[in-house]
Amino acid sequence: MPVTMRMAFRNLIEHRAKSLIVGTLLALGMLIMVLGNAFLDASKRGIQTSFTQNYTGDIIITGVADGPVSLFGVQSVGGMEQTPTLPDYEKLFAHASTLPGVTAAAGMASGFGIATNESTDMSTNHEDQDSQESMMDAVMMLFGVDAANYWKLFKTIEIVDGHFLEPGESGVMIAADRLEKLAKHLKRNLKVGDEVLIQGINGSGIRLRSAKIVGTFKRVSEGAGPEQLTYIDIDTLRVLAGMTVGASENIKLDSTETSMLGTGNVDDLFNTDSFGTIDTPAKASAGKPLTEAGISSLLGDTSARERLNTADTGAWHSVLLRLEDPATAPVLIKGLNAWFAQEGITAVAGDWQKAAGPYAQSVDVLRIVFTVAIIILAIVAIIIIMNTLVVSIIERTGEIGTMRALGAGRIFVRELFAAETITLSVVFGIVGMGLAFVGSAIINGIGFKASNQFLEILFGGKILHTIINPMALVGSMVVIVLVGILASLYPVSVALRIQPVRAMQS
Amino acid sequence: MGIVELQNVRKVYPLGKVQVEAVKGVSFSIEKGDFISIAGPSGSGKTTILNMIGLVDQPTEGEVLLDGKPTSKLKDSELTRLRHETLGFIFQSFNLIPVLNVWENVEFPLLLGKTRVGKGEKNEWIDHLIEEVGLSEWRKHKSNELSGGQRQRVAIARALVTRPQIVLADEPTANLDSATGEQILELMKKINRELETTFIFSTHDARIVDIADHIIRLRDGLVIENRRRDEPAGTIRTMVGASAGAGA
Repeated sequence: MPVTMRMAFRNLIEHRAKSLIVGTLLALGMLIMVLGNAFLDASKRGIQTSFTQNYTGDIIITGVADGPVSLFGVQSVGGMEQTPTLPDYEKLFAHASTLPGVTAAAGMASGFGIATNESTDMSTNHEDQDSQESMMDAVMMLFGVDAANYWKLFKTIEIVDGHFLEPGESGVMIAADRLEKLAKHLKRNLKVGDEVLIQGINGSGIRLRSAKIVGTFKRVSEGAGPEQLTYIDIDTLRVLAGMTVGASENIKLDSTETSMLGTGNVDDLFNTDSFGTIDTPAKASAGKPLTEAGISSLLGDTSARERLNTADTGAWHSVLLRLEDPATAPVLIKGLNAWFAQEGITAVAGDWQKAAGPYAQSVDVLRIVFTVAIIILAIVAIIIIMNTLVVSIIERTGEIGTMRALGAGRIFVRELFAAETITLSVVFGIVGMGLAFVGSAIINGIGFKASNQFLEILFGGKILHTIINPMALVGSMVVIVLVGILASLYPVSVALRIQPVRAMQS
Repeated sequence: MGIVELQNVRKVYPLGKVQVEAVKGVSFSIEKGDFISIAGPSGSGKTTILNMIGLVDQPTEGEVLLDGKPTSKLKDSELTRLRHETLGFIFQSFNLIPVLNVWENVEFPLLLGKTRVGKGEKNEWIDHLIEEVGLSEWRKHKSNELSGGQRQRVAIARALVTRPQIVLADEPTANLDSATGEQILELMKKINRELETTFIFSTHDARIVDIADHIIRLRDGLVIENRRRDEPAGTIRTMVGASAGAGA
């Protein structure tokens, strides 16, 4: 063994109090890094498994918007309203679904709704907590599905009562464990076959649709995901989400209407010249009772409005693909995006993380927060270790001076301290790793359960798991050794300034 | 030409805002194989001179020549090499490396230089030196398990292991009882005779002065006596080509 290593080992043992202080910090740093990464890796893997099996498949194709588009809409101000529909759906679907390696494909669209009663007064004050919780039970994340294909893509969904939505069938499928909550909110019993009134939430006005509960479901593999997810037939979803013919059809205005758009004074739009003379309902009905037929006659022909309010049957938000081998996703995504560019289709393909949107990003955000915390911890550790080493070097001034007097060059002194620091880092890094393995085993053994949806996302499932990744171990060890080396730079420079004459003064 | 020459050497230390002149222009020459005592009371400048001869400190003015070569312009790495190859050190406080045992302490200087010695030859030489200083039984012991005299013996073996031309000893008997001190002196004298190694002591131990071949006495940074043992007390030998200065 080189003399520097031999001396380094013995010095660490000789100065064991200081070695323990520095080593404990390094071991603690290693423990936090390994366990933290193990937790984040497990969380990400949990979310990945849960989402690819239950919601996203392996690849998603969406339209292009200003912000990233996921299953849950556009991540930008405005949210769902801006979710683009897929152009050239038929062509795109035909191409994507027949690619080699694609085992299943389905189109879908998503939106939000609130289950309501016809008698529900929307102005009801929901400020008390019970009412707010009840309101949350009524909120529905609506997945409008292509019933002919969607269930082949997600085989983890099991029917508890009723049946799967069938192609062309109108209705909803509600999670079995949410049915009771929904019934409580609506203050009536709910079962398969009952109708439920859903109010669409979007920027193009309030739309109400009644939908029959065709089935209740549960998932074979539970995990992180949207709790309020409800499957609905695509046409009802399109209406609730404002994906109607009127929303996508170009309206041609005549010259009179166009000229109104150019007026500078808003008041001009409402003067009598603009409207001519009209009979007010009061005037028109003077002396006659107000009837529905009378009101309808006042509104005139509404067939054009009704046509514009019908669902746009070609409108889809996304296409999901299941692959034979999920590892081939990056290659297929690249190929699909090249094809879109070649065909001039404004669509984009992405992986499950793109599809999961904010859910997948939550882990990335956590990882950034964790990394920042580790950097702060590393800086604190470097300062403490540096101080300890400087004290150690000052105490060893005579010894260093003696070595210099006997002919040790600066390189030897540098090597000696580098050997001490690296030995300390590696030894206590391994101790930290060992502790991390023990900690991981304990956490996995106890099996902490997520008590709410936030924790489910954080844990990547219902139960907290940690997965120690070998690459994270290597990375953490590199960080610990770097921390040790960085912490020793200043103390070593102090040691190098010690002149051999100090040997005579010791 | 001597193996060591000091030419008009001055050393000034800053002490707070005051400049203290520890050595005030000293010149003398030391012959190869001499057993030399640089004597004087505390503060006379003897350790400062020893440090400058040992290349662990630099003169403020003047020149220190080792084997005829000036040293004031040498870089740190060259001084380190010269110290390693030419000089051996024996310190007042022994200065053994605490984490190394007797054998390893003696071996230590051999691990520093670029010159590599065969393992067998090296081990044999170290064993010989340890035997010479009478510590064969203690070779695996660390310094904190040794007495003061034993530690100084280790320091002597360590100083000799690179076969230096000059051994510098800074008050080597100061921390030893008189009996042990005498043993150590006898040992060094024996090595001086056998290996013709030049020994230079800074001391105020009268016993060292008595056995020295060459005595240099200092007072207040000046040489007040510079004579060989057989010359009368008070003699100040002059050096050819050097300024006589106050005491040279």
